[in-house]
Amino acid sequence: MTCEEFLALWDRGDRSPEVAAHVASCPGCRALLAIDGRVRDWQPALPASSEAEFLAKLRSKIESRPAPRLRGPRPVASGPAHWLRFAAAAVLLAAMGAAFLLGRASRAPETKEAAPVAGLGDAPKKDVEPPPDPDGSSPDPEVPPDPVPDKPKSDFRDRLMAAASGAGREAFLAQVKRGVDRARWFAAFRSPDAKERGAAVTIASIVKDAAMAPQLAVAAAKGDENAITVLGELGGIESVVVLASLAGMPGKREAVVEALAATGRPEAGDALAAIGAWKSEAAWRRLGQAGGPAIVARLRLGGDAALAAVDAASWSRSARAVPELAKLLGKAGTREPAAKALAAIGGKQAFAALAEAADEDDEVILAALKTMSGRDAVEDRLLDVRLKSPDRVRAARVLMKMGGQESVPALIRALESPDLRDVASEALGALRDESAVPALVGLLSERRHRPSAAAALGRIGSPTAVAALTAASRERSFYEEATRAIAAIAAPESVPHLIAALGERSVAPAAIAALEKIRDARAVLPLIGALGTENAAAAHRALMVITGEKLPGRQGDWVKWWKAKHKDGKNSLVTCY
Amino acid sequence: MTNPLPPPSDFPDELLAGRAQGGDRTAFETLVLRYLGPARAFCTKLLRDQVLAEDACQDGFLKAWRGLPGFRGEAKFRTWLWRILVNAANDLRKPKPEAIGEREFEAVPERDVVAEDAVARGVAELPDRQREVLLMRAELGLDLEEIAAALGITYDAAKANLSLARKKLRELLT
Repeated sequence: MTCEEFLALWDRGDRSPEVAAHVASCPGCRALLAIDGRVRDWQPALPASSEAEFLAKLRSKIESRPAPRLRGPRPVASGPAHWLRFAAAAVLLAAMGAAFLLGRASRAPETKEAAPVAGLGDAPKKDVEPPPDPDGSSPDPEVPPDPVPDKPKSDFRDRLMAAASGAGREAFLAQVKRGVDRARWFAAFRSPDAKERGAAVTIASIVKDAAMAPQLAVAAAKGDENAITVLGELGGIESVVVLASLAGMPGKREAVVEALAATGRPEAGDALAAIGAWKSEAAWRRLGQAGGPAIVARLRLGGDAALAAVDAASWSRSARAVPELAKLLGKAGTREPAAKALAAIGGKQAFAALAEAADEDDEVILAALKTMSGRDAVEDRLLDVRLKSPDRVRAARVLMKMGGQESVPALIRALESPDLRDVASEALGALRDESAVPALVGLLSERRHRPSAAAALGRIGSPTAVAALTAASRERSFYEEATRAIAAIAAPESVPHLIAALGERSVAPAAIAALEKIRDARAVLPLIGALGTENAAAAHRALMVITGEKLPGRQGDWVKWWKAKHKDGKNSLVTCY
Repeated sequence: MTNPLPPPSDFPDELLAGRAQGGDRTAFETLVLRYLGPARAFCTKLLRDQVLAEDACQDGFLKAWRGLPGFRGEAKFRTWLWRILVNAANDLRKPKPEAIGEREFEAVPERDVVAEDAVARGVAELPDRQREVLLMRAELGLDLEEIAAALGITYDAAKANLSLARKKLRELLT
């Protein structure tokens, strides 16, 4: 490669290995290219105004004389009155698209669209030497010379129809790719004959070149629904532009929406938004993550506009929409749909957003949380020691509200953090899982946290905790909490403790209720004694449950009954109570 | 439909231009912000005057807005825009004949505004066309085909001017 060849390639943007090899081995070329670098690195003082100031000045100039419009505002609504305008726009776009494609060749190395079939989208550029064309055919897609003018048109029509149905298709495609018959093929898209148009569209669906969008637009504007479908299959940005302009045609909106979704492009989301297709569930589902940017833009607008996009966010499961949906959780009007959308999107980020917003007794958020499978996220939050205490406490409350035994191990681990012990105890109590008992019993030795641990043990109701609670109750300051927990457990082994508690005004009602539940005969005489106290009604009911007797609530009647039952007189109220 | 959607910043130029043609100012401003930085750097290096450069950018973007109906997508949007900006800058560099009498003193770029380092002096000594081509290649990163299209010259002319500019500047800098 000579230096001149190298520079020609380099300045065309070629960075192939051969070009790189030359620059690496040629000091002369390197020195020449270094000039570019020095020019680029030269940093003169730039204009000092900010971008905002520049725009403000520009706006004032623009507003002093509004620009004439090439075409009206983008299509935003469908309806019979609009369709002709859209059809006109489609034809205009077809012309524009063809012109647009003239420039495609020069940016082909950058474009992300599928590479055009050789000879279809290429165009000679003014002042630029076109690459040698082996066939000598002009690649201009708009007015290509037809190299076989002697063949009658009907012959072409026959071959087109045959190729569309499969006969001689390979030969036809080869001809078209080489530029032969291309003008006639393009003309067929405009044909008044629906069958001929259909055949042209069928060939386009086989070639699948984004450069065909303008031709397909013409066929679609004439009513070929298949052309709309093929535009969706092409998937190029040209298709999106053309499809957006076709949305106003009567009876074609559904096909257009479907085709836009099929392109899978982010711009298609914008187009769906522009034509107001927010309720098209299937389209948003199909567009998926590609719909994210358009949805996010709409969610940012807030109000009714955002509400329309929430469902689309849910259908497309767009992870991009999560931060915006999280903001909508804070507003009463959008809280519920946003929560449902986040639940549908799923993932740790969505789960964290819901957990963050969850207050106690917030059924909307909790219902959404329960439908998700991201429980891990909130457990991580609970156990993340880097987070501030209120965040972790909130996470524990969310787990408690969600229910389910899966979170018990995380909550037991949370008991290790002093600031979480009370809330984790409460949560474990609410979840009523016996595996938490040993950890909670361990907390009974901690003066500060034992009331919540005792309450949790009481709710869990495991008899294995009774001995520890009874032992802890010997400390006077903890007696009441421990006894309430023992009463809540209502285990037979706690009967002596409960009988003793009948003499303690603050816990006597709980003790009576527990004794009624346990139905132990040892409690009868103490309960007869309790008939003389302020808890007579509860004691009377407990006595009837335990003994099966239907005596009135007077203590004397129950004493007589007792004496009749125990004629030997060994037991007495005095000795017992 | 309620509010128009703000255009995503990663929208292709041609789609934004299409929106702007429909009267969407936000889309046009997105394009302005996308190209303002390079445009300022390019015009400042071309004109070697911050004030003139700012005026050139204002004039160029205003002409682009008003000329949008004429953008037919035959070239890339950025090529079309650079052509307008280069013309706007040249309009400021070359006073119109009828205004020469009034502007002959103020039209001369004030050289002390831009730091007079060797590269600046070297670029200033290049003929106009060579300076434009070199700056479009080095500063804007356009390839020769885009430069030719933007300046309305042939590919070979662009190539020759670039080659001459590089060689001359290399001599001046060594």
